[in-house]
Formats: sequence, structure tokens, C-alpha cells
Amino acid sequence: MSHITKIDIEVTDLTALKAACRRLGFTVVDGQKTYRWYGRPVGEAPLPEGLSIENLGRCDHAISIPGAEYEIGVRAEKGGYRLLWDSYERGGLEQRVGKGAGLLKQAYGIEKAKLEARRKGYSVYESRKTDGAITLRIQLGGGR
Amino acid sequence: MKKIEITFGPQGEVTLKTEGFAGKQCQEASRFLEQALGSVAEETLTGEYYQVQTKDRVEQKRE
Repeated sequence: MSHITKIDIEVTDLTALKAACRRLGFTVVDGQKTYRWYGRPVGEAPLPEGLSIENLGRCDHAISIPGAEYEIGVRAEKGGYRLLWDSYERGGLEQRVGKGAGLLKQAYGIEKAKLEARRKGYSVYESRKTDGAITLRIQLGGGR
Repeated sequence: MKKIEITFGPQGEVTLKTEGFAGKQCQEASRFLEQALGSVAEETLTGEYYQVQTKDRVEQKRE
């Protein structure tokens, strides 16, 4: 190995997000302007950075998840998208998308990396590890 | 063989590794993926990176 990088995922590509949702059995509803959540802030949980209470529940697209009462809002922001969702247990989201939406971020990263690598004509091989991690091996200079 | 390996953890953590590149080539080759996925939180250069850099310098001295 010549270098190792740790990357914080940022959602910037709606096509890759839709592919990630298909992978997980979720559906992106284009143009849905609201998403289901508890409806009001509870306790002392801070608001998402840069947002007001009025922003909660409003979005540009929404993600519908089978078996979950609540939905994920996809809010278009400068340079990308922010995912807004209520982790309250009754809404059923955290059980399906993981803590901090980790499983959705994982799926988005995989689909985004595949898109970008294939765009350059590189071969991509996917394998799953026993701990739930998924590895992409990208071979440069080969066919698809 | 030049390869890039990316591991996506179930909590959204991402680690990218390169293999088979000479010196700074590895950073140039993987930049498109790092930029596409988000922001680089941490980068570590490994022994292979420095070995090739050293070899490059030796070859330059000989010329």
C-alpha cells in the first residue's frame, strides 16, 4: 500500500443515492416536498446545523422505506444533499438505515464509487466481509 | 498491478488504500474517488510511498 485515506461521506449525487436506495429496497420519491416524522422536536436534541424548526419536515425529495412509519427527507443544499430524518424508535428508521444512517451512507458510497470508476473504464469487484463491511477493488487500466 | 481498494463499513466509515503506484501517482490516481465520495478526514503515507520516492531520488542523482 502506498497511501491510506479515511473519507467522510458527503451525498452529492442523486443518481447514486437512488441506486443506493434500490440496493437496500428503499424508494426515492422525486419531488416529494415533505417527509413523515414525529412532527415536533422533543427533549434537548439540537437542531441540525444551520436549520430552523420550520425547516424540519420539509425536503426536495423523500426516501420511503418498507416497514418504517417515518421517511427520510432529502434536502438540496449548496454542493449536495442533506439527509433529514427522525431517529425516534417508533418511526422505524434507525433499525433499517443504521445508527447515523450508516447503512445508507455505506450503500451510497459503494454506488458512487462504482459509478465514478466505471466512468473511467476501470474494472470494479465487490466483496462482503463478515463484519458487514463491503470492499470494492478497483483495477486500473482494465476493461469493465 | 495498480489497484485501489475501498472498504465501506456499516456505520458509514470509508477507508481507501492504493497499491502498486510509484510515489505521488497513488494520490493522483485516487483523487477522483476521494473528491466524489466526500472529504478526506485523514491521510497516511506508507512505506511503499517513501521507498519509491527514495528510489526516484537515487535515479535522478545518477543522471
